[in-house]
Amino acid sequence: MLVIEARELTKVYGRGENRVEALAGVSMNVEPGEWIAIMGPSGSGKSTLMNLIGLLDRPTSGSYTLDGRDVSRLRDAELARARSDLIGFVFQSYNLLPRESALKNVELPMVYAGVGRKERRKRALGVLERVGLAERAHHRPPELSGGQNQRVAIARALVNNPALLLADEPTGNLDTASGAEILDQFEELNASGVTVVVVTHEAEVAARAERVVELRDGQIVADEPSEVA
Amino acid sequence: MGKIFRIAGMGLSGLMVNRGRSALSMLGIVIGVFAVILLTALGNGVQEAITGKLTGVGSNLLLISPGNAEAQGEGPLAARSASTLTRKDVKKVESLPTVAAASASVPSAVLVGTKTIPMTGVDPSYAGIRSVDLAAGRFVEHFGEVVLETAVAKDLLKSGPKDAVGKTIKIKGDSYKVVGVLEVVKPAFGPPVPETSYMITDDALALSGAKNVGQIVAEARSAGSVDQAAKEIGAALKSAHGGAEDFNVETQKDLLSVFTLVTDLLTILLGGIASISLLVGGIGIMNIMLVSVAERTREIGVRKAIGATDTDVLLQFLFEALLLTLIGGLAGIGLGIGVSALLPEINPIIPTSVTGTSIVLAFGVSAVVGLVFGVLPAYRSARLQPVEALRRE
Repeated sequence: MLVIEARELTKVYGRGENRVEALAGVSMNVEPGEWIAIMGPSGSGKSTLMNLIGLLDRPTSGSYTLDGRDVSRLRDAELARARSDLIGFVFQSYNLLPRESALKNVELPMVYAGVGRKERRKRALGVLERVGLAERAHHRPPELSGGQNQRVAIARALVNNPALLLADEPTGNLDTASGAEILDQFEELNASGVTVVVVTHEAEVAARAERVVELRDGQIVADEPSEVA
Repeated sequence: MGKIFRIAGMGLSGLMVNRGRSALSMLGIVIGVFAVILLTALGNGVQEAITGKLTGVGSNLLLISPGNAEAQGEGPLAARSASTLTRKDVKKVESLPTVAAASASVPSAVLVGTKTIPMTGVDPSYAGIRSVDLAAGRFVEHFGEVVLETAVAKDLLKSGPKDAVGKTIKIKGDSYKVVGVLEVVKPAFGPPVPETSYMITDDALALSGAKNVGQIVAEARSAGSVDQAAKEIGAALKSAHGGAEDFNVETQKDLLSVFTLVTDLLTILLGGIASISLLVGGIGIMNIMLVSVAERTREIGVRKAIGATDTDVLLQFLFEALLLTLIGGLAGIGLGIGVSALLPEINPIIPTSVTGTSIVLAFGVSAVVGLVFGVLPAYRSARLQPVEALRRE
């Protein structure tokens, strides 16, 4: 079963003269366990594609099957459910709740998924351990470095065992060393079976992936195994 | 169900970790509720103080005179030889539900030594009905007692008010003890208080040889019940007199109309104060809630991205707003009552009176405004696609 099966996805913003076609018919498949980088310059539509894949936005047309479920016609509440069950997000700017501890941040997706308190605590500590931040569990985001924040965000993304780990410019706010650490983290997770899709415009990031999908003007212009991999 | 509690708990911990923002939102509600309660307490206090003063002037007063129509006023000049009002009538009037107190009034003139002084026979309740002020001593309560005017006391006993009390005067050979001296009557708002000395009704009747009382003065329970009291008195006395309307019930109509005008104006003023403070409080709450929700649009986006449904987000904001308005509202009520109680302590001239209505109104409006403006913008943000909510800073 494919993790992602997208067919002719389009996304159009605005109307009339302001009409912008951000995605002009994108089709792609992602197998379980793949590590894919989606690349392209700004304005290429890669962020739009990532929003559609991540169920943060709806396509104007086209169909989208995620982990065997057709998710292109779901209602808002069902979309929220699908995000909770199937997708883990990592954002460029971390998007952690700044006043809650790392542990509470990691527990949050499980609150919405309806996981009990003890189980939440256990699983949250487990994933924090996995990203090497067990001893920072009670620190708040402002007390942590950028790299550490991003690892908390990765822990949060992993905690519900998603079918897909989706990262939008995950190293964009980090220095080279921290960025490399995050990429190591992805590599490690991917090695343990997690499907990873990273949206980036940095060639170094794409070089770490197994497969690179290149977008330009809302269309896929290249889809091939990474040269390095 | 368990999820709702977890989300409620999240709302609570959200309030705790964002203490500054929570305190500010709450402050808006506290001040709103506090302002409404205090301002209406002040307005009410003023209204009650003025109403009390006006009542003392005699707007509740009813005069029952013998004969019909023409008899006006009270005092020796209104005396009638053929009075039809009896002591029984006084009791009857006093027993009516709308009447607070009644007293007979027997005007006469007595000879003390070589001087004739005006003397009115009344019941002890008269002092309260006409707000009689005494310079010294007390009002008449028993047989053989008199209360003299200041000028009369000076004239007869050659002494000031204080020294006159305890002395005796002789009227028709009998001794009467002076138990009090009246305050000099100042010209005041209201029906003129007669210039006369007082003794007990029965003494006056015995001295004059009359059987019936000259007039009856009565006090209605409130200014609003004066008309009703006049009707009841009329009916009661008519039946007591075998259907004959040989008396006249007089009310202080002019005084009453001024009285009701003042209280009506005060009520309008009070309503104005209450609505303006409600408005100000409501706008304060609205602003703080709108701002605090607006700056959390991104947070809403994050929560939705990691799996929160619109309902989850709404529940959280509803719970937060509920807690804020509840705690803020209670604090505002406490502060409002506290300051209202404190003001008259600091300066007794400032009257305050907290009413239950103002508490309910202040709390109710603040709660509704707090909830609506805490939840409505959150609802708007929650309905955005997560990507749009995340885009907001």
